[in-house]
Amino acid sequence: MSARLVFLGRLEDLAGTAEMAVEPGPLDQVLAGLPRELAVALLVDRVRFALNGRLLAESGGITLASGDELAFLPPVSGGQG
Amino acid sequence: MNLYQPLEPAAAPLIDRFARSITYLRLSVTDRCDLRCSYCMPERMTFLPRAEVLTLEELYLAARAFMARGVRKIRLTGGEPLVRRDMIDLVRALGRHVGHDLDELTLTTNATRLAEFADDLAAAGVRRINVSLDTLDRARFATLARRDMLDDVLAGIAAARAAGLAVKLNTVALKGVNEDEIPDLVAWAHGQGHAITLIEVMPLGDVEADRFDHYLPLDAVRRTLEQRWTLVPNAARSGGPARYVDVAETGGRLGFITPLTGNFCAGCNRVRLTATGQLFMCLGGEGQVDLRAALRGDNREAALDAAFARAMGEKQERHDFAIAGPGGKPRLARHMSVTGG
Amino acid sequence: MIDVRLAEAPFDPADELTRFTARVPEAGGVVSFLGKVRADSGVEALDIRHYAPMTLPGFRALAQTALRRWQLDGLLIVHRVGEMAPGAPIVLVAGAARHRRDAFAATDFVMDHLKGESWLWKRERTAAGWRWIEPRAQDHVDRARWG
Repeated sequence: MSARLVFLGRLEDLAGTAEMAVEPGPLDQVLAGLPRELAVALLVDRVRFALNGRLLAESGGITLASGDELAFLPPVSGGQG
Repeated sequence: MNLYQPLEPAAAPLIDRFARSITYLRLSVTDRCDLRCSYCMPERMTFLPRAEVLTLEELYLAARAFMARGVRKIRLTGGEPLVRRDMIDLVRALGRHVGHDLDELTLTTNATRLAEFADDLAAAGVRRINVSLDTLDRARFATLARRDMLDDVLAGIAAARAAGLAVKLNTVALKGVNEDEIPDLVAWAHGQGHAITLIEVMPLGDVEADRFDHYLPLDAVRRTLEQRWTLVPNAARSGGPARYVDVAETGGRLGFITPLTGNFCAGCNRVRLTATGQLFMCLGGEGQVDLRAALRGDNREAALDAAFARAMGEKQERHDFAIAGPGGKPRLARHMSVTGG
Repeated sequence: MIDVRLAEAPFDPADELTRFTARVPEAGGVVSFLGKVRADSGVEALDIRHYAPMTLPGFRALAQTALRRWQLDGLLIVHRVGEMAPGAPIVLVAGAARHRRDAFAATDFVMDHLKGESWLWKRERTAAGWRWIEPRAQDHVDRARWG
């Protein structure tokens, strides 16, 4: 079973899709398979990671297993109305 | 397809032409089983070629498509779901939707592999499971299932309990096979804290044993039980054929499924997807829609929408269950093991 | 009593409030706040996106925090997601309590934290097209005052 990347907010525009099936494996490898501009945007400080619905404290040393879902959460919109 | 964002409300709910809301998906993940219960599967069954079976990924996408259209409960079935390799990955992926897109994820199993997976299932978000068990007698089990595996089954049920899963037993009533044992089965189940549901034989598929010979009407069973216990009707409904009583003396719940009688179709809330992606709108009918083609083709979202629309337009009003008589051909050629119960 | 929901279709704030109030007959007072899409400044539509595994659970956790901090008989949070038009209700928060101080404080607290912390991403459409909304410093200030 694939692993899954989910792109929220403006990251979805950048990725061209809300989600993407990827081969399970170390995150470094997974990101290396993405367009460079997207991969860079995902690693910016203010983007948080959530693995299987749980916020991660760090982005280092992540390996995606079969069926896992990794969401990239840009800063939330906050105010306005 | 952006499956995390809801579709427009107007397109969303799956409602058929009889105004029934479909909120329950029974998803078969395999046609294979490690048992050969004579009423379900012939000994020499031809199994589906792997290429025809949906991948776990495809099963997940199909489930998500249903959730996007308002399905709130998913039951994983088979064959025997736990024989499929890596099935637990699918359970984990679906389990993450419980609490928002999904109210419940559950499983029907023969429990032969439950000791291995009970903790994983509970961790993944499964809370209740159904276990198919027709006898507590080891020799009878071996004859009926054509495998000597009762010990594994009982160990599996114990493991499920230890993992905190609520277990309900499903028992098919078979004349001349477990007829005399049913009160003891009920007593044992309730003593262990499990609910139990008795199922009247359903005429599906050509199997070796003559199905009509084993037909045991549940009203006769109920009268036997009523001699021993007080059965208090319980009005609980699940959108399916089961009718429930509470047994006063044991404190347990007992269900009866009699598909040939009773008027439960009006409240039907369920559809079944086979492991090859064929959507059956009624267990007792032939109507089916090919979701595999939609999942594997171009423009998946539009194709699935079209398939759902067809399914809702074609779901029949009532089932076609009937057996002609001894030696009679079942009306439905499809095996139970293909759609699951 | 906690009632926390995401609404994928328009909701009727008056109806929600009536039903919420009926469920807390013992409360001395009910405070409510309704946030709406601004109907000015050329905004044609607002689109709110969420991440299902985290957004609603986050709201529920926020409601629990409010319940631990103040004496409440009930707390309601209904938040739209999806596309909505100018003037449409976005979020309704209501707090019911025996004492109005608790009701006011809890409702204010929830609103400040909803604004700043929810797992929600918003974009608005003007004549120039869609534009994602970035967080403001004010949101942080609003939350900081609760300690």
